[in-house]
Amino acid sequence: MDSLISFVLNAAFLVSILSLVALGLGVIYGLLGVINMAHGELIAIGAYTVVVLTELGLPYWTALAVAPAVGMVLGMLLEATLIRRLTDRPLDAILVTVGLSLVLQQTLKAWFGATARSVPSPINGTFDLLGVSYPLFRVMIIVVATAIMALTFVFFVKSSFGLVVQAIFQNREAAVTNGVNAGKYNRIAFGLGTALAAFAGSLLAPSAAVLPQMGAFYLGPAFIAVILGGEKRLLGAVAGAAFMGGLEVFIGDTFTRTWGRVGVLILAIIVIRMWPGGLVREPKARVA
Amino acid sequence: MAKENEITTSEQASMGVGRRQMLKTSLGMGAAAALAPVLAACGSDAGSGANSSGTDPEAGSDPTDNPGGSDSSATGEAIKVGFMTDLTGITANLGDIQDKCFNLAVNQINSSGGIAGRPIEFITEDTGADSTQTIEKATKLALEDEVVAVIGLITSLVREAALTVLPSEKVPLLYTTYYEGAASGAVACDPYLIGTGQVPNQQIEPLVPYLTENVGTTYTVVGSDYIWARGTTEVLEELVAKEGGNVKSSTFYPFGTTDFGPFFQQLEEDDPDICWVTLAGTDFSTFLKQYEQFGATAKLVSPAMDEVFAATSPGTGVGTLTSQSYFSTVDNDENTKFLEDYQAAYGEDALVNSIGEATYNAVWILKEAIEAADGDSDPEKWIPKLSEVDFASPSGTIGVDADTQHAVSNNYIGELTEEGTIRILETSEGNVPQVNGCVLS
Amino acid sequence: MTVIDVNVEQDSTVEVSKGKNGLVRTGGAVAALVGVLAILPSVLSPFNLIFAAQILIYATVALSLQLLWGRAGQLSFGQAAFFGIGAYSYAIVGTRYDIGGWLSVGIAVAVPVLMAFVLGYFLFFGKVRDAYFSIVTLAFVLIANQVVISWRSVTGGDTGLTRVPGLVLPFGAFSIDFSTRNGRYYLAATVLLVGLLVLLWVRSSSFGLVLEAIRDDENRAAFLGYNTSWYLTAAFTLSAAIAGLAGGMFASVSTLAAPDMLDQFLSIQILTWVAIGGRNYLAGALVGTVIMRILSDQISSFLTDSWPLVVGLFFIIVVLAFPQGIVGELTRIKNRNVARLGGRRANVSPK
Repeated sequence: MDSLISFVLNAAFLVSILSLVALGLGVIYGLLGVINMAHGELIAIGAYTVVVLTELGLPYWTALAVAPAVGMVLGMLLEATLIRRLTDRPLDAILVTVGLSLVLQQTLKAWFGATARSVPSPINGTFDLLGVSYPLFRVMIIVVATAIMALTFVFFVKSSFGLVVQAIFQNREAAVTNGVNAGKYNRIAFGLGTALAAFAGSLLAPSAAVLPQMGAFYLGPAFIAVILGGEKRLLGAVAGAAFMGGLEVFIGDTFTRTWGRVGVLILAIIVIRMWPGGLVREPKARVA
Repeated sequence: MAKENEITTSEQASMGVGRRQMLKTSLGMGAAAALAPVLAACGSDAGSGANSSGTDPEAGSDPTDNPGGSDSSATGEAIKVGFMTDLTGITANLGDIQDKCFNLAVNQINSSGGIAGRPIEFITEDTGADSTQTIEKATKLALEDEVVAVIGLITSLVREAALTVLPSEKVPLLYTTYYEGAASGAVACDPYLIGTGQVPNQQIEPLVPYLTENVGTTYTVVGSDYIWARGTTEVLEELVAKEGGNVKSSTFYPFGTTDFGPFFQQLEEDDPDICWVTLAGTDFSTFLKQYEQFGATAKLVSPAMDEVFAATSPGTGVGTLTSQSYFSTVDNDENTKFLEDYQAAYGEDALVNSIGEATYNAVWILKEAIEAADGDSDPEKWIPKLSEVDFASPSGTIGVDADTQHAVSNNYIGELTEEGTIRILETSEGNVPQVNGCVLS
Repeated sequence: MTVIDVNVEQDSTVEVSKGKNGLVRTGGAVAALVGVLAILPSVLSPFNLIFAAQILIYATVALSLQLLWGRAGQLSFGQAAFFGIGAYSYAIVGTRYDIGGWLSVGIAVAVPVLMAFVLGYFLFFGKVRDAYFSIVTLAFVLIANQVVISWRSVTGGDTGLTRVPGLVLPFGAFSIDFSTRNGRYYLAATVLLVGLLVLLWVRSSSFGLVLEAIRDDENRAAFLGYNTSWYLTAAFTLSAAIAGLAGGMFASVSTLAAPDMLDQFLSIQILTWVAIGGRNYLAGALVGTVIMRILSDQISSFLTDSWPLVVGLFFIIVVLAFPQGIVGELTRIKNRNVARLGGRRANVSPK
């Protein structure tokens, strides 16, 4: 029982961070068809935003609100200067974001140094759940991440902006012929995607060593999550993240941690092959 | 020597052409504007030492200044030394410290008469923490720059990569990081390998009895899935068994683990006296933060803990016990002077750790060995003189063991304080390195 | 390449004459390359010769990716996996079983071929294509990397396998020693030429034309009766064979097989080499690798701790300014000049 509860909590923690990253990637990929290789650096930028603001004496919670805004603005700027030129050339966009990732990483390093920075935990203490004590801060991360994801979905389902985005998701050409100004949506979607990454980074900051390359480890699993879930559906990224995070913890608990890492990738390949449309299929109801 | 010099000059002449042609190729590609000043600065590339990373105010920033001759006292023919470390990549923060220590030692030596009157000239190369780049740069240092020794390196991966090149070119490597020694089939016994960091027996042998006496005898091990962690754990298990204790479980995580949640469940089940940590770099910092969040209580012990790690997560890991050849709190005159000079050059907040100090020592060891060989920089001449080295280093007197060519050094057991410094609890002097079956003398 | 495609449909006689011209031109280019490769040992310093050997082998992997990406239209993030598996296969049989010579070369090719065939068959016949395929190859390289780090008894763990024996190939009564300093260079040059000749053959063969047809419109190719899944599996396997050969010989040249020879970062680097040179051109892979390797080597010696910044900026600029890569851009300029010339002639002839 103890181990079940701790499995659920650990998996939920891993999944909630990975979901935010994957959701950001999924929005960008679904809408622009761009595989954003610089997404990991946006995670780092979110974390560094928290470093800077907390060092200025502002509370962590303020930083948590500012980080996604920084990510959004930066994302929109990148879209306007670089990505916009490449909307018809998704392959080249991959390449440009590879270069961008190098540039951003080095800039962060020049700015903040190669030594890891740190953010103190805003909440200390543990939380007792049926005999398993779990850090309160982690519970908070799980709750906040879930809330943000829920908000993102509501936004995409309820707002007129979201509905147009969904239309583009489903069929870009049809949407464009129907008079959708794809450029405007691209910019906002790219900004939204990078904002989610920065937000994930700001949530991670107190539990991680803040370094320019800290996001790199999330990039591979997050991509796989997006594809696993089905690129055409936003919920797919979350389902994919749940698959990746949950199984990694489960296999790791059962065998070794290394097998957890390897096993989940092998299963992911098999799932992509067996369900090429993704884990989340055509909607029964109109849910994102 | 004369013959060697001839080769040097003719090689350099042909090399100059080759390099310039290559430069032209890259210039043609449009990066010319951005690179022009840098390339111009390095135009006289026959080893001006201007390749340094620029962290050193004296040697790096002004390419017209020959760093070897920053003081008039050293006037002889320069001794060329290669310095390699991870200046980019995941271990760049450690490479940065080694770089600073190396530059400091070179400047001190050059401004006090050089090596037997000859200034040190150095070429800095980045390994990129990558095996292929390390091989390439090591080859360059050996064949093109014709250095008399290469100093530096951090991870076992790049050490092994460099050792595929340097011994066969008869260029000695002064490796400056504590490592697994002969464990797991690593190359540790080679006439062209000189270790100035510790091997496991030097670090762990003094530590385990101390733990038995002061903390307890049951252990839970967590480490990264790599050679140093596994090798160290093997040594630990042996020693703990001797003391009548036991290792309850060992978990090894792949590199880049961002969440150790499941481990803390294991730790709670084991309920050991000691939580023994051999995680690598960033993963270790991440672990420390999460250890605090989970409110775990077992005594943390890690032979990888030092002031540099502590600084990456202030306030966490307080009370962690560690065991290394140097901490900046070592109390002696040499260390006071060393820290003064270090902070004067790199700022009040500049941190230093044992792999930095071992880099600093390596340059001085090289100096003493060459001087013992009457100023002959030919490795065949000075390598046999290594056992005569007797250097008053910041960590205490060090020598070089003739059989293994690894440093005989002090070991300090310390505890991480709230301020992020290491309070030294116990000192053991003159620990002799053990590298299985290694007899080089 | 598309030019040839058009000609096939328009007029078969044009194609033949074009083909002949093309053959002559290609032959000339290969002869020039052989000439350059033969001269290099006498003009380069020992260090630069070893560096050149590294570049030539990397260029071979880049060529193998060009087959899959440029010709067949499937982008792989996993090219380094096959390179690395080739390297480890060669290193393992060499260090643990004392196997060398032709057999070790064969094993360095056979192991990646087998893996690529199984994976390719599994994926392509399951209609896994494009982004899905790319992501699966990313997962594959992550798996391969973790396996070599963790399977220490066989692979040597995170430090890899050292003291890998050099290659000595027997030819009947005599043998060629490729383990000397110059020998390593000649081995690298041979590997490049072998890879290049195979890929030139693919380019001119109907196999290559079908791959291009699949790249341009798979449904149409399938409608014309080609089993596209087989063709893609074959391209993937051939690409892995060349990458594996290059990897095995890389281990022999550098006497080391290390985990960073099969990670996603090397994969992405290979990708950038091909892209910068021009992914639609065999020469692009070659030119891109040579330029990028020399550029990063030179810059990393000067800007020791900020060189990735310059490389990154350079990369962004090239991709934005020359979407077809460097070779693509040169070809475009040449074609424009030819077209202008042709136009003038057309104007002249009626008089």
